[in-house]
Amino acid sequence: MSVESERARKLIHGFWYVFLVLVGVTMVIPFLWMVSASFKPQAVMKVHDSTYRNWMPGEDVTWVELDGEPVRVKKLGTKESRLGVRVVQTGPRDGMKVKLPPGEVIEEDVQFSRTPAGEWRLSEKEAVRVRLFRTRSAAGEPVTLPGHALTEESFLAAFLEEPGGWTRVQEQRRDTFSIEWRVIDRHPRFGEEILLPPEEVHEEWREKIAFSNYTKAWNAVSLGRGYLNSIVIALIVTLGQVFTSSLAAYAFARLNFRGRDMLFFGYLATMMIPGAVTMIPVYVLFAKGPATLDALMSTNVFTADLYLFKWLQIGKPLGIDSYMALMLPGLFSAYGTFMLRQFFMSIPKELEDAARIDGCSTFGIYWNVILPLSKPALATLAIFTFIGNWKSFMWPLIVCQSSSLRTLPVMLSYFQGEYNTEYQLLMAGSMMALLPVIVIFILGQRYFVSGIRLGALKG
Amino acid sequence: MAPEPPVPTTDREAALGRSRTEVLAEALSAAKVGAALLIFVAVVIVLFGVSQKPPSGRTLIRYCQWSGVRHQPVVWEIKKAFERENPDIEVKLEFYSRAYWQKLYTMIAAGVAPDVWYVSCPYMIDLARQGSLEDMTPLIERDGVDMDRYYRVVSDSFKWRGRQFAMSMQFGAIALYYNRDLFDRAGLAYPNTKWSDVEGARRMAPRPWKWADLLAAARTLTKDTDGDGIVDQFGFLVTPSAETCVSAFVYENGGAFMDEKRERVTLDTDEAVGAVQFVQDLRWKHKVAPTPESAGTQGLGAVDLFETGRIAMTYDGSWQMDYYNRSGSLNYDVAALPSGPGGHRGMVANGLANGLNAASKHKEAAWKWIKFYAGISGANDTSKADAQMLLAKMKRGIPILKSVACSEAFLNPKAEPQHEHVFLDQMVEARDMWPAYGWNEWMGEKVGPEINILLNRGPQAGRTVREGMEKATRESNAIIDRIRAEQELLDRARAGAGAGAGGGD
Amino acid sequence: MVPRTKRRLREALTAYCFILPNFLGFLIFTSGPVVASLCLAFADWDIITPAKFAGIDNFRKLVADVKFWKYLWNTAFLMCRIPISMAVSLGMAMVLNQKLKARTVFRTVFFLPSITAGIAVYILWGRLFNKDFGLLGRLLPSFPVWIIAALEALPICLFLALVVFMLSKLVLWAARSTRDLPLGYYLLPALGFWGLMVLSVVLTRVGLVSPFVPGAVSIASLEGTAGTSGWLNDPWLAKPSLMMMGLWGALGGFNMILYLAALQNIAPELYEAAEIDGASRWQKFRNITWPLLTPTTFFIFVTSCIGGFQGGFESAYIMTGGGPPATGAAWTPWAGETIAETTTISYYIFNNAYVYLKMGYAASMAWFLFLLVFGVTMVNWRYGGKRVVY
Repeated sequence: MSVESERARKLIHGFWYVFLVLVGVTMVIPFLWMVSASFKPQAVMKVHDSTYRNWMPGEDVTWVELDGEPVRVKKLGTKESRLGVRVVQTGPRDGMKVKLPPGEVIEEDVQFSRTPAGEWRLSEKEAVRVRLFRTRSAAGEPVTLPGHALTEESFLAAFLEEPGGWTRVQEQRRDTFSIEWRVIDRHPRFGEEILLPPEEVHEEWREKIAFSNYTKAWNAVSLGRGYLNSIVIALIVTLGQVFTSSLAAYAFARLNFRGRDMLFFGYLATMMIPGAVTMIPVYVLFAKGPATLDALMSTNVFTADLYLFKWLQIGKPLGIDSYMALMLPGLFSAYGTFMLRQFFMSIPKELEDAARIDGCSTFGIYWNVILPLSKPALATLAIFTFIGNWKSFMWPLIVCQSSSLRTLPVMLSYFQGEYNTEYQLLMAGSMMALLPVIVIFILGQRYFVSGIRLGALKG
Repeated sequence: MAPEPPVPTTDREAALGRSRTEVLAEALSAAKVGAALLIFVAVVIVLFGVSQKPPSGRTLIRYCQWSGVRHQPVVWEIKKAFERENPDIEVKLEFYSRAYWQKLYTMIAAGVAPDVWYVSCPYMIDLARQGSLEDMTPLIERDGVDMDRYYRVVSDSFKWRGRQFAMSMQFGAIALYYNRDLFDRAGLAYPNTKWSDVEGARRMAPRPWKWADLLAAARTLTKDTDGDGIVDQFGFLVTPSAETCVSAFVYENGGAFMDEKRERVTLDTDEAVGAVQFVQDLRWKHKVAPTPESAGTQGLGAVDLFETGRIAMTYDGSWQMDYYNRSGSLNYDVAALPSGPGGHRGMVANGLANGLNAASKHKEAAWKWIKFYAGISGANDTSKADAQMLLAKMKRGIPILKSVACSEAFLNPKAEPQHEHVFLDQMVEARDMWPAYGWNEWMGEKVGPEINILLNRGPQAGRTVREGMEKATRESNAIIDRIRAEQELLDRARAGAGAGAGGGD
Repeated sequence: MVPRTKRRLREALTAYCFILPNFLGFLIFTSGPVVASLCLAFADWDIITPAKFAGIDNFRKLVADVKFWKYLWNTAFLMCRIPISMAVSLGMAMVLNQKLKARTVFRTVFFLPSITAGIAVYILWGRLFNKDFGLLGRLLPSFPVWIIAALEALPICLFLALVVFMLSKLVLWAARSTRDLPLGYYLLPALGFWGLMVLSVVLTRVGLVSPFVPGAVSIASLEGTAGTSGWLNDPWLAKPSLMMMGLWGALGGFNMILYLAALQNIAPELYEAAEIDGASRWQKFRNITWPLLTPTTFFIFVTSCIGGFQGGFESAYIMTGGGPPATGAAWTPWAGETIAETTTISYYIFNNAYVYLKMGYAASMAWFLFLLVFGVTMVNWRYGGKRVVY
């Protein structure tokens, strides 16, 4: 009898496994696309006829063979049945570092010359600011290094045109002491335009996993600060909300006072008004609040821009563009109160009566009896609140003015420009934003699903 | 007396229960201690580390803009260049992404709006007539700013009642984008650019294109490339957008969206109706453009279709150049928009501008920033035009200063597309973006959806093009009248209250 | 012993102290703005200039606005997925409650949609649905006609099932009967109607025009296979697409977690006792699990209803880019105007407030919505509250 039931149990479990795996795979497919999109190189996201190419990160490459080596080109028009192409290849090359000593700003040009050994040496003039232009020069002559000449890819890369080719340099670091330039790469025939028979121009698709999307996304919107803000705000709001909601829920569930049900319904009612119309009054409150407080108390503390250790901006103490504004409205939640009330109402009354007989105060009952028993519910509420706050977009968008106070969802929205969306960076950023929450969820599962047996108290 | 500990009821509970509660209790107390410590440390940090930023002695102006990640670096560079030139002014950049207008209006309502903000034509009128934008005409006259250095079509579109309310710094224009590969494969001559050729010979059509030429080329380029019976390559792509596509056709047919004084919508004229009919026919009668049933046109699809080579031609804006340029293999170029049967030409140039907050406390500094962005240093000096040069390099929109737009900074012959100058050449025939009352409302609720229906549903729209356009025009004019009436009331109230700065809160 | 009244007073005082922190927040951040929005509903405000009093003009406009009612209809339709997603969440919670290995992994995977930033999810799905390069979008033309028809007919059937349910409850209440009709009484009409609609669409394809499904006529007259417009463009497929997306999120979402926590709290002794008595799985579910879950079910249903009325905002806002509401613009029989199929009330309110600058009108719509939701919640409370077992 027990062997059979064992087998039956294993069979059932096996069935559920298969089912879960199937469902899981279906659920995960959009995320797989997200992952693959986050690694796609930043050429425009194309659609291909083959599924493999749609999912695998890669790019289309047009190349020709020049001097025995493959060189990337861009197609131009046809002329007399020959195809015009322009060389866009910059060959692989290790960067060489060039250090320029400090100087006072402006107007002068940086000049340095190339020694026969291939090094860049600074010539007499020392300067920091450079101007935007390119000049030709003969080998060995001092060359003016362009400053902010823009290229297709990098805003801060510069092109150095010299006979026989182009050298691309990039500003690496600028501080009081020097500008460090790094030679990125160079190709002998960059920019040249050639006419070739069409057969010699090859178009291919190549796999390429662009890890740089993640670093680009990180830097583009300074995700580090966003993480800090999101985590701090979400944590504080979660703690506060769990605490205030549990207090209020206990009162609604167990204590009797006049107007209890009406008030509770009022709480529920607040969940029913769409946010669009209540946002402005709250905003005005925060906008005018600090100034009024300052006037009342004759200080200027409330409207001051605060910094931590003179370096980290933490916004104002109160009012728009402050952490308080991001946190305060979230500390109160009707949803949490409602949920905990339901839960508290399901805790047997005998426990409380027993504690009261022993002389516990109401707060004591709340603290010693109810809270420990509701750990799963509290943990659940904590996770919901954390995630809800983590994802919240509209209110932080409205309230943040300084870039140093932004939360993650607001930062992610910057990947949607006016005309098109930077899919790859957006997906990379979203993946990065997802990680901490997944970790917290995995850790939190222990709490809300382990549950403390109520049955232990019966009998 | 303390309550008795819970009595375990099963063996398992006896084995685990007690130790489990004990373990949990320990963990909890440890957590409590840890939390207390953390709070203590935090309080100490806050008390001793927090300080105010010492006033920098510079005038601080706030500037807000709607920019995605790709374009924010340009604005930073412009700010740095400006601060180098004006060391006594500090510009605080605030980027608001999607909900730009919502945020801006909220801030205006609360009285904390930035000093300079970025406006587009449809929204400028509302802000101007309600007094939130400062009238710049006195400042322009005082400094002697020469507006003829700019493309007047665009900068004048930011005028209301003859007064300048925002200073434009960049704009976008429309042209005919075409896929060179597809033309080559079909052996067709490229649409002409009408103006001088650039190096690298191109095959040009002998004379400027008209609608008939467009249709003929589109017909040749619409085919079934893989032989499965379904047409998968189309000659033309119609986007039901009024600004980008339909308006150009209307102008090409000799019609107009609005009358000269911007007081009435004129889409019910024969010319306008004929133009919309032509566009509808491209999709439904001649079938050279994909319909929603044959192409994914949810905004995601249109651009990708051109980029993947399924569309040979489309009307698109200059802002897409940057996007298409990033494609690995798209071989495209731009050409002049064809003219209608009557020989008319036209397209819409929609500009972006910077407006000055009427309630700003640092108007002089803000005015300098606005001028700098438009390429003017000092009072009226456009020789350096750093900001415009930066815009040109980044292709963030066409710079409005003519000298920069026509220079190599923008028209880089070594960069795609080959014939960018087409955008500038067409400016002689450009029209502005109809600064009119209630544009958002009537465009968003009446004209826009109507055009959408007519083009997307075609013969199943349930009404003829004329009927649809007449209805949309009628209702839009009703909205315009209503707002004009409101404005008259507002004017009278202001006149009655004496000369004031307007009704802004 | 403390005298009774004094104890009552103390209890009331304690209660007030307990509620105080929450209540302060309620007062400042919610009730204040709510009152302000009520004032706005009777005014005409375009945010930039001071507000003007406008009496009940806004409400009059509301009643006459065809778009408002259409969007309300859309919102109600989209809410019909609530029973399905609740059932699905409960099912998943029960499955994941078993002692399977790697439970945590599954739960995390299923929870992923709920923790991803909204913007990414909507863009993801927009791309998936896209006719040319979306996984789902490309599959659509290869679906057989009856599947597509079934999908298209789904919202209406769900809606009708709910209507039948409510009507029957009303009838029973009027007859002062406390009987409960078996589940089949509700499912049967819904399924029947669904089958009818599917049949009518298929017949339309064959050539017989159906009077029941106007949308089917327009689909049938187009060339090519059914559903050629893609998921979001087809006026009849648009809402089921959104429902599908919602279901995907609901599979492992918050509701499932709530159910999971509630299931964990059911003492296993009850099940053991039932087994000893020889109860089958279904009986165990019906007599132990379901009643003990009623507080959670009630909570989930009420909050889902409340949330449902305000939902659909992000999908419209992000997928249409905040532009004019024209996703899948369709011609519907009762208006000569263009009315979108997937726009919900919440998005319309937002547009009116911040794009057309008609804040007063938006506030009046918000209050109308509020009264509606309030009424529905009251009904839920009265009806559901009685059946909850604590």
